[in-house]
Formats: sequence, C-alpha cells, structure tokens
Amino acid sequence: MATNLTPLEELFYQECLKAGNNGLTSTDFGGIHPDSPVMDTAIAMNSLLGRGFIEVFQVRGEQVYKALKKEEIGKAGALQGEEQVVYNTIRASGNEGIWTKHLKSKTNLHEAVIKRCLRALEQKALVKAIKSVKHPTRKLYMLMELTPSVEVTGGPWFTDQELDVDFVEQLTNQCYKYILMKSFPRDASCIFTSTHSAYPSAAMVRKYIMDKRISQVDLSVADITMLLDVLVYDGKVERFIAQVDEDWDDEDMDTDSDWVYKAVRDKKAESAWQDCPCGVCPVADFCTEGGPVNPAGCNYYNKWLDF
Amino acid sequence: MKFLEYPGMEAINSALNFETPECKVFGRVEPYSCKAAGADKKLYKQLENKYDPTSNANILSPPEDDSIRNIISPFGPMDQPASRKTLFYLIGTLNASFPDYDFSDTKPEHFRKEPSVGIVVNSINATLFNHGNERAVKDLRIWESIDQLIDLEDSDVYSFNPDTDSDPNEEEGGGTLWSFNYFFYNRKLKRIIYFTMRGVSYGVPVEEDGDEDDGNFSNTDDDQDGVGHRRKRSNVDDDFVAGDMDMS
Repeated sequence: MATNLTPLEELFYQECLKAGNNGLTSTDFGGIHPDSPVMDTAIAMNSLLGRGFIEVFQVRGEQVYKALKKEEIGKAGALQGEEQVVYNTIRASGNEGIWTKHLKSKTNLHEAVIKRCLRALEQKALVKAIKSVKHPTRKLYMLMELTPSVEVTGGPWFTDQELDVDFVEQLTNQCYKYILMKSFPRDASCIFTSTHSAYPSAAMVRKYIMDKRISQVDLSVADITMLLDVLVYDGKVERFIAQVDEDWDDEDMDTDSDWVYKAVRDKKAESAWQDCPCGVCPVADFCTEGGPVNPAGCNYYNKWLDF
Repeated sequence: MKFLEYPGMEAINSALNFETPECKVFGRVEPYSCKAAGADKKLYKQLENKYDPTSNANILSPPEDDSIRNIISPFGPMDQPASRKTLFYLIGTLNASFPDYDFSDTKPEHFRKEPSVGIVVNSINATLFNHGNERAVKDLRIWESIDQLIDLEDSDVYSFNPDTDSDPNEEEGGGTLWSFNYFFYNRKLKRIIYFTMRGVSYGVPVEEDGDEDDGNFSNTDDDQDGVGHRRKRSNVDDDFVAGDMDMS
C-alpha cells in the first residue's frame, strides 16, 4: 500500500490502529501530538477520513474514530460521499449481509440515493446481492469478497434456498443404519453388557458417512450432530455419555464429543396385566364373588400360584 | 411496471391509514401500467426461462421433467404465454410496490384468481367497516375512483398469499394481525391496481432498525442505564405507536 501520508497523518493512523475497536475521540487525537496546532490536527484527521483510512462512529453522542486495516482501505478510499457511507455500512454487516431496509435506516439516505449507490457499487464489483433462507424475499447485500454465513445460506441442507428434504432423509437413514449395526451384537436376541462402550460417537458416524461418500458436500461434525439429534427426537436413537468416572463433574458436560449414540429397539408394550391371570382371562367380565366363576376358585390362579 | 400518479389517490390512501382500539391499520392503493421497465426485462427473461417449454433453458431438459411445464396455475397453464405474462405483471407490481423485496422467485401457487370482483369488493368493505372505517367507502367513494381508473367490470382479480417468511406485510418482531393483497388487472387497458392493507397490533414496537450490526458500538453503554430499561434500539422512541410506554 502506497503510504503517501504526512508524518502527522501516519502517526495518527498508527495510534488509531493501536486503539483497536475502542477507537479514539477527537480529544485523543489532540493528545497524540500536543505540540502541533489544532488546525493541523484537524486537517490530518479530515484527510485520513476522506481517504478512507479511518472512519467515524457515534457512540453515546460522541464521535469516535476507528482505523481501517490496510486491506480494507484501498477499496473504500476511492469512493465518494454517499457511496462510501453505503459501502461502509455494508462492510460492517460482515458475512451476514444487510437488508436494504436496514441500510436505509442506518444511513438515513433516501431510497433513490441508495439504489444509485448500490448500482454503482455492484458495477465496481465491490458488493453483491444475496438471498437468505430465512427471509427469501428480502434484498440483501454484502461485500463481494465475503462468503455468506451459514445462517444465510442454510448450510449443506439447502440447495438454492430450498431445504433438500431427500438429502437430509437419506443421510439420516444412513446414520441410523450405522448406529443400529453398532448397537446390538450379531445375534439379534442378545444385547451388550452395560459396560460395553463401543457405541459410535458423532465423529465416528461422520467418518463412516464420509468414507462411504454418501454426501457430495463436506459435512462437519456439527452437521452430523444435527442429523443425530433428529434421530434422538424421533425416538430412534438414544444418546448418553460413554464413560463416567468418579470425578466426572456436571461442568464437564459441554463438549459434544462425549456423547455416544445407541439405537433404540422397539420395546414390546409390556404391562403387568399380562403377567397376572386376570389380564388375559376370557371370562374376566363374568367373574364375580360368589358366582359360578369366582376369584376364590379360579383355575388360572391355582396354576399360576402353583410354583 | 410504471407507477401512475393520480391526484385523487392521495386522499384515498390517507383514508386507508387509521387507528382502531385494537390495531393500527395501514393500507394503500397503487395504480400501475403494465410497461416493462429496465429491471423488468430481466425478470421477464427469468420467468420465460423457467416456465416456457420452448425456451432454450428448457428444451434440453429430459421429457420426464414435465412438472414445470404442465403446471396449471391460477393464471392458466404455464406453457401459455398469456399466463406467464400475467405472472410477470403481478410479480413486477410486487417488486415495484416493495422496493426492499425481490419477489422474482415467487411461485404461481402463491396467487389465487378470485371468483369475482364483487366478492372481493365486499370483502374489502367488510374489513373496513369492521374496523370502524366507513368514510373511505361511503364518503370518499374509493370504488368509484378505482372504477374510473380500471373499469372493474372488465377486470380480473388476483390475490397474493405468501408464506410468513416471504411476507412483506409481516412486521419485524411480529405484530401483523391480518393483511390482504389484491390485484385488479384489466387486460385491455394493461393496467393493474394493487390494493393492500394490514392491521398491526399495538403491543409490539414498530422497529425501524435492524439490530444486526451492533458490533461496532460498544454494547456496554446501555447496561448502565438502570435496571428497568431494555437495551436501547435507535429510533423506536419516535415511531412507537401506542400511548405511554417510556422508552428513553
């Protein structure tokens, strides 16, 4: 970057950079080089502002100046007035992007002005229009070089703003099959002992999915965990902490990596009524004290109680 | 779509914005001429590519992919140019009326062809009367003005029913109790009148600002303002609709 700044401007810029996100007020600037006359300070500050080295914000009624990093300077520096304001506001929205309605209220510029600036900025390839999955009809803008955040694009689950239901379902099924395979021994009538701990974690499921190349896009552990959560909420899979030692604390609970997943086998609907003879007795309605069929002389009970 | 200025419209529009004990009502009537302006041409191409079976984009796709071509939409079968034109005009009108939104991807199924003008007029009148506003219809005679512009007898009426997350009538922060969007379209005159209204509850402040970008401002400022105060949102003070809540 060509630094054709005067020594005073350079000094101010460096001090402002050092101040980081807190920025400097005009009084601070005055204090940097107390010997120089107020006029020079003002000129230097204006020059830096005009060329885009620093920008000004309103905080609690005061004006605060923050320095722009070197990479950001080149682009905005060449812009004039309103375009610069619009560009800076868009830049401040990072990779979330900003809606034109918010752009209007933040810059207080008229709609026609904003439209013109956006068109100019688009032509200069400084900003681009994007769509959000949460608000598909809003017009959002962000800097050209940034990638939209996951909030905006929806991540791997969305293709062209639409939830790819087939993809999600297919993947979830594959995850379930893998977990099922690992949850029960070959012989389907047995289960593992309570000390068995080789249940798959989210990371292991991810490795399996990636190895099988089921998905064309790269999926992170967090993405897989989302799918596993779906299985948990559907009641197909349960999750628990694999190894609990004596000194395990509640505070240790935040890492996702401690969870392992086990498939849930359909529990037979069991109830105590099946065990006791009355529950399955064909004449239960007919049975009464003192009648032809009664509890005292019940054959089923005699058999049941005859160990 | 070209917005048409008519002297009588201002009076009508101001009569459609009023307050009731339950909600604040916003409404507007906007006449448009079906002329394709610059940005509209791009929209037209986009729609043709999407729905026209003979367009270059669709010619190469496999014949099983008929789902798009055989759509019977509220405008008629989408492989008819006239149907596509209607969709194009309606989307163009929405884009013109809501400059912060882009409705280009709106599907035909979000629109409905209303059975008759009379039914729609009655429905709108009922809404107005139920909210205590007879002035617009009886004194200002909005339907006479609208009829002069567009010859209602000869017009089709379509309504627009978007999903909640695509709805321009949904206020940020919720609060929209009801809304409607009607298009009175006169094919011969090539004119559309867009009539929309919504009722917003008082309970929720009408936000002027998005809070997305509070990163540049040190957030610690507002915590010192005292226990009972919510984090300050700029501009809400001015635009807060109902009575006496102290926001400062």
